[in-house]
Amino acid sequence: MVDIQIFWLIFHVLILVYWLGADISVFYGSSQLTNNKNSIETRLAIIKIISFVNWFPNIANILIFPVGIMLLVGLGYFSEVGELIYLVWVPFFFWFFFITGSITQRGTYIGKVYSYLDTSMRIILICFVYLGVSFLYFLDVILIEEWVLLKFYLYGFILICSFGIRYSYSDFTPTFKKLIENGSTPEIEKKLNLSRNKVKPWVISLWIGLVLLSYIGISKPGI
Amino acid sequence: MDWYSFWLLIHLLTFVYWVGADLGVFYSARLIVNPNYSFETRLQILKMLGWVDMIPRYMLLLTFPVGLTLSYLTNLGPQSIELLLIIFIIFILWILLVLKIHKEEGSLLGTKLAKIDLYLRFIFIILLLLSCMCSFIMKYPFKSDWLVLKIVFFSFTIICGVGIRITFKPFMEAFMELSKNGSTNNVEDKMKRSLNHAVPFVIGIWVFAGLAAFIGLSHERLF
Repeated sequence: MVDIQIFWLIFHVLILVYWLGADISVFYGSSQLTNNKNSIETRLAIIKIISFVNWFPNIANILIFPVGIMLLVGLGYFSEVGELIYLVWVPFFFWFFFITGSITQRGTYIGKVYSYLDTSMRIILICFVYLGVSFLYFLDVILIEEWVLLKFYLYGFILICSFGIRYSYSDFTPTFKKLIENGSTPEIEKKLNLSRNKVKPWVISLWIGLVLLSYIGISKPGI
Repeated sequence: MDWYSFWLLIHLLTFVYWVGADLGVFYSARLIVNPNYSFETRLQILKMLGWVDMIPRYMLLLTFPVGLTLSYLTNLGPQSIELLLIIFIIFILWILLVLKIHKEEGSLLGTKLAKIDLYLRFIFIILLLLSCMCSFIMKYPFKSDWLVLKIVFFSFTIICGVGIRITFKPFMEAFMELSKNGSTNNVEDKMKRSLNHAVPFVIGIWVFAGLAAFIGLSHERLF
């Protein structure tokens, strides 16, 4: 019999598939964006591919937390909270709205507002996983085992990496706009490459974080 | 180090990079058949697609020996470490062959090696289905019904892969024609038709890989 726990488990795995797996296309595509042998038209076509594929890691980034919580509920965790645990979906629904807005309205005033809200959401989440969950764990407010705590911390680490990606890549978009307007110059190409090189360690750290997150979920150390 | 969890993680990652990376390939292919793009752009996207597409190809081959290792560790598959080692060597050599085919693409050697690879896939499909039949009847080499079903789904994904290769052949021929004579309605139609013919097989891979993953994740509750 297929029960809800199987559904959440498959959903959780698919989130990883469309995050980590899709990220490869984004990462390789971005290397072609900074390849000065490619024409501007080619690079714009690559941007189109990256923009489409990147929706999947963006959505996966949001869904992995509430889906993970639902899985933990199925394993018997958070029974102290009762039905209220389902409220975990509410902030993530808003976050989805903010991210969607920040992408589709990019470059406009409202897009900036959405982007600000998205950033705020990430900061709140990082604070929650490091301070809130630590508080719940160390003061025994609710039962959280070590492996679950580790998963929360790793999720926080992944969010920090996504911040790193965002800020080290912030120069890329204005420089790319200059490339479209003025054509390729050594200075623009250098800036694009610099931006990409800065983002690399964050991307690789995020991938390592996701793999570790999966390993802990699989092995459940301490049980 | 828990070896079972380690191999399970690798098995999961092969699925992640197989299905997840396919997403970028699928979307990029749509841009190649867009006649509004210059030939140079289409060629660059094809090259990018070719690079990303190598990852699902390696993963498809890697997932089998890794899965077999898991069946060895859980006592559901052949209990011979020597057999496992031989299979690993065969599949590593096969991956190297696929790598060589990618490097030699367009050359006479590349075409010959691709033919060998295709024959190897036919042999692999036959061996897989035969071993599944034997397992259903004699409970050997695989002792569990769910595992047999999973391998049947896996062999269907390889059949779909062969289907893509056959239906995609006119695409590459048309693309060569495009490179020589430029865009004509005939060439554009040929490419679009070929891509459309490949779509059901692509979806087939996703469905059967998804079903195999579903069986793997839910077998404890389903069987």
